[in-house]
Amino acid sequence: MLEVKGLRKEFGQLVAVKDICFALQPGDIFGYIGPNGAGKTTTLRMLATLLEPTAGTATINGIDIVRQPEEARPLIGFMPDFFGLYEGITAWEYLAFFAEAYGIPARERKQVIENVLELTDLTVKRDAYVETLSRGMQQRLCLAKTLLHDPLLLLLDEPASGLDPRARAELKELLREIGAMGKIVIVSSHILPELSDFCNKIGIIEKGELLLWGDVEDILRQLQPARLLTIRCLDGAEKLAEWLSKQPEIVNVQVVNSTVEAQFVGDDEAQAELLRRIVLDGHRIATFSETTMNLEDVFLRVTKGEVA
Amino acid sequence: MTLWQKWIVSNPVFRYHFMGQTRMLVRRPVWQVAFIAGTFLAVYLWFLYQASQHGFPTVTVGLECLVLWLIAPLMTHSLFAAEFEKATWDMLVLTRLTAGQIVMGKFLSRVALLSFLAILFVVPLWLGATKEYQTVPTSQLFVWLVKTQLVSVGWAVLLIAVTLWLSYWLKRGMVAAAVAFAGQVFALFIVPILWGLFFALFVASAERSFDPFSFDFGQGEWLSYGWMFDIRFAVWLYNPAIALVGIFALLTESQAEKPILWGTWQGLVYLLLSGLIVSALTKAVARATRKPL
Repeated sequence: MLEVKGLRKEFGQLVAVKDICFALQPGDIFGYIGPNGAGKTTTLRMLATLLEPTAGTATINGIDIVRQPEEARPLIGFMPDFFGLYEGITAWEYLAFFAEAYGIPARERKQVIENVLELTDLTVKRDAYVETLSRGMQQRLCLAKTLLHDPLLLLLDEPASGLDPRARAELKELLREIGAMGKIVIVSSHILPELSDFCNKIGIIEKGELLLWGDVEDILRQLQPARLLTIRCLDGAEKLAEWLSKQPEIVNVQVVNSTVEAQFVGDDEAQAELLRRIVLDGHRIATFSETTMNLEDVFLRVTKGEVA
Repeated sequence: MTLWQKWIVSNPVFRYHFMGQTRMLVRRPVWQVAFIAGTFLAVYLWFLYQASQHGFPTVTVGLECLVLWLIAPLMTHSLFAAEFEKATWDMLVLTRLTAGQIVMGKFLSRVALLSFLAILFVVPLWLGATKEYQTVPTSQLFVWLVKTQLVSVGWAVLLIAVTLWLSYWLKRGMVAAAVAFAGQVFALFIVPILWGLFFALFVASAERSFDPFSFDFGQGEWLSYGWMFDIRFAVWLYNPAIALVGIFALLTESQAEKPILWGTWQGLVYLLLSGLIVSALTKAVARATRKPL
């Protein structure tokens, strides 16, 4: 389990990260969202023990990252947003270098390296020199390196930046697999669509302040108390809108481009019941859908566009 | 775990910098490697033949110093800087390697490569010396050889330590190399000249009958051991070029006239200073990364 308690970082007068707190369980994939300069990388570097916090701390399975960095490091895998690879060696040799550096026993190294190469789909490139790999492959190789010592906490700083759409899709799939392995994954990004598919928790940081964090569904429910229903009726939108405005669970209704948009308060059962009543009332419904907020909507609603 | 195992045998940093990077140089087409290796071998064999026929130990030592003292900063300048420039440093810090393994792995890899180069010069130097100094006993010649290597290699090792330190603090490889070369020129040429001028001005202004250039090199009490700690002449006495000239000059002198440990002492001082710099660097890395020594 990861518990972050009042983590703060000051660079002179600048407060880069302001007393942030959150907690994550194994299996959680946490999307850490914020504009450039919000404090995402600083937070991740503190969690990775690469930067000492000004105040506060974090514990991984009870190990304090500030007081016991050497004990915490074997539990942490960190992939920075900008990284390089040692040149002049093959992908296999690169992983062997880090396997030894992580203290993996010699008799287990071969198997461990083969496993991570397979997980990251790089087995065919094992003998290729690292500098000859494409950007996406280098990203995967770096991720393979990060997974070598089987860390509990994975910190990925902008992992998809600079990748083409296919490489992004592959990376998403890979992160889903890693999450399913019971690891805690923190993925920072300012590109929201890339997070929305696989994160079960998000945190939004702006100007060093964690504005909100929690389950994606809880946050959406919090920010959108009423569901937005979009209904297309073949008999005329105005007639349906008038009917809907008289229903007690509808709080607001309007016609937009011959489609009815209604704000509805209630659960799935009530929503199904509403649809049944509309049909029984004689309206011919072509489409009936619920429009949910996406991460981008959440982000735009919560943040003000400021940097620390 | 012994230090040998910790710093060399079980240290991937040492192996990468010693073997991995070196291998990059031979990752060329076979004909290129064969051409370069063949040319080098031909020149080297010709050099061995010339040394065995004509001697020239002074030329060999001069060439050795030129190569070692030029190449030491060149092969060290990017060892730390490249980690920062290519953003591999964070990844290295997060491993279980100690600060000592990281620093010593880099340092010893370069010392090992340098030693290999030095061995290439030792062979022609020995051949040349046995030809040139036929009247000198072999044992004395052997001591002379050891002293020349202590000074030339010791100074190169000191250059490696200083450049490594610069590479870590300046975080820019080319800047570290430039500062190391400038520092070397300063220590070898500019400081001794400025110090001599200072002495001359001091004598002239004080109107004393003291000539700083006329100290009895090779005679008197000063010469037995006092020279080692004489701060007035330190910039000259610890100048490796002057130390080597002294080693050559003293080879044919009688034992009574020699300053004790000339050459050996300078070499040991260079190595001691290297050790101190590397030790300070290890502590700095340990502090910055919160890693054990």
